[in-house]
Amino acid sequence: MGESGSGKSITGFSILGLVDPPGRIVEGSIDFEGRDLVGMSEEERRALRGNRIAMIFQDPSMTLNPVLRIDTQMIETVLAHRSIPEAQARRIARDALEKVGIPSPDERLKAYPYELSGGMRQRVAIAIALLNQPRLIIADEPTTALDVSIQGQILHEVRTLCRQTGTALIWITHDLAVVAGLADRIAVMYAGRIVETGTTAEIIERPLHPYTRGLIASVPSRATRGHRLKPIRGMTPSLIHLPKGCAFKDRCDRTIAACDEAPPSTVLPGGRTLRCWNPAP
Amino acid sequence: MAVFIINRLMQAAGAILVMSVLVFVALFLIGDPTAMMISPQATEAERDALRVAFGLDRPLWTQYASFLAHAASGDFGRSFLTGQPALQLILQRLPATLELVIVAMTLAVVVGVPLGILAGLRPKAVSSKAIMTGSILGFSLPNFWIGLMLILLFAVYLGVLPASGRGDTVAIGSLKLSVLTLDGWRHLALPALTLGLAKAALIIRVTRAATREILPMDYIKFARAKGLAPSRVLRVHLLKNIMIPIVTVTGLEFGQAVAFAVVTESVFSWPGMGKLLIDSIVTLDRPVVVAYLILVLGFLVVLNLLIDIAYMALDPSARETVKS
Repeated sequence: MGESGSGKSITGFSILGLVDPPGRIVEGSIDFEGRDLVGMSEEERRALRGNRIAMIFQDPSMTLNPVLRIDTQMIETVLAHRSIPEAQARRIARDALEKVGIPSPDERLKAYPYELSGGMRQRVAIAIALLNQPRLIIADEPTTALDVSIQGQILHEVRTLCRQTGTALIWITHDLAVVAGLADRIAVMYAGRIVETGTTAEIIERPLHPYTRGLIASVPSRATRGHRLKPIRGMTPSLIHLPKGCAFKDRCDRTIAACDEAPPSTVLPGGRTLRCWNPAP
Repeated sequence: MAVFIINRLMQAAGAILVMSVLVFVALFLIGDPTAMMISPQATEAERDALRVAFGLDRPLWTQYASFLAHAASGDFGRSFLTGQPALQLILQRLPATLELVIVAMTLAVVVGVPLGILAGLRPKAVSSKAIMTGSILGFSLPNFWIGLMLILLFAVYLGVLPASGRGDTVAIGSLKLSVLTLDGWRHLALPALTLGLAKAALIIRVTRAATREILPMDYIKFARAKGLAPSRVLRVHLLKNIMIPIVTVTGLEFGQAVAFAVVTESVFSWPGMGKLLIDSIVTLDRPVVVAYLILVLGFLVVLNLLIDIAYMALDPSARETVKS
């Protein structure tokens, strides 16, 4: 979770190895099923993409290729990772459409993207992500571009499908309400770094990082009825001109002298991590 | 679909009608064709007799009406110069032009599309900059100059290729083709290269622009996120999308080339329609010019219709627009 420009999407693309040049992974490691994704060859990464790790994008109107039929776009995903007859790949595609709640999947297979609504297209994208039974799905704000009613359905369906298959889900969002209802664990990002992680209950009920606290306090709720909302003051800093030390210090009301140094990520008892010199009590 | 085609054909008929009036009036204003047909020593009485014989003494609108009545039945009149039917004269020249243009456009597409994609994929690479510089030369250098330089190099210095004419042809029915003989190809090489280079330059730019436009699209990234091989992303996901502008431009350029390959055909004395048009304009051979322009307009209209149909084959959402 984090606001626009905090580095959520680029983190997702880094896991897939799809950072566009001139961007690149400079250092660090990405552990997945006991392997480091950073050192892998492009061919090894390609074999993982869409297979072990799948991604769902933000804007369903841009995700599907406008000139290719749904079946083409689904079958090629299966065939990219498995050598099976095309007819079998088609059946897998059809079943995946059915699984994500698309009515008359056989007809939808023959449709072009423009013939489907936004919600349907996102369902197709989810079905594509599910095709090869991935271990991890990265969903990059997949409901932001949809109607609120469709958002709820999609959220529910994705969660159910992942529970059924035991697939891990990284849900990238700026919407606190979405994470609160969906996630087991939350990682809060600010200015390109994860500043705090913990279980959903821990983060929502007892946020430690002043930024997380600010985020939660700025959401309207029944408890704050009649009071003015408390926004976080200031603006997100430009990632090119980050302040020295803690990136949040200029907007923080708990700044101390130590904040001129960048805080390291510390592991707290119980497995929470935190990047702050002066956390909330 | 049928409604769409009928609609377009009716528009075309209107356009051709307007065009015929314009051409007819313009040629009337340009000059008196009898001046070219009779010896300068002829008396005024002889000239008048000639004008009467050709019906040129009648008011313009009656000339036009009579032309229109005949044209409707496929009779565009006879050449003042040779006495042959104008239509036949033009159709005789058509295969030579089509042959030249098809070879040239094929060359342009085969060279232009891959180079354009290459330049679009890595816009900053040295090779891409070289391609783009080459393409600027290709379409800013005048066609006749490129033609003359090629003649100078291959025909004069190296002496490996002929500089003019069609060479041996093989007749299939009434159709004479150069592409079926080696000698024909040797004659075809230079004019096709001249015409093709300029067209390739344009296709390179269109392809590059389209590639640069499509490449950052989410669906290209999604295709990669699905784990597709890079070659499939390129050949299917990218190519299918950039084909839309490429087909449009190629089609229009093809039409342009067939209708007005005048310069190239003149430089290489290629006996095609463009050369016929220039010769007929010079000799004020009114029926041939009028027939030519009307036929060419009809051809361009049909070609545009074909492009639109191809467009629908390529872009599924365009089909929908036509249906509704």
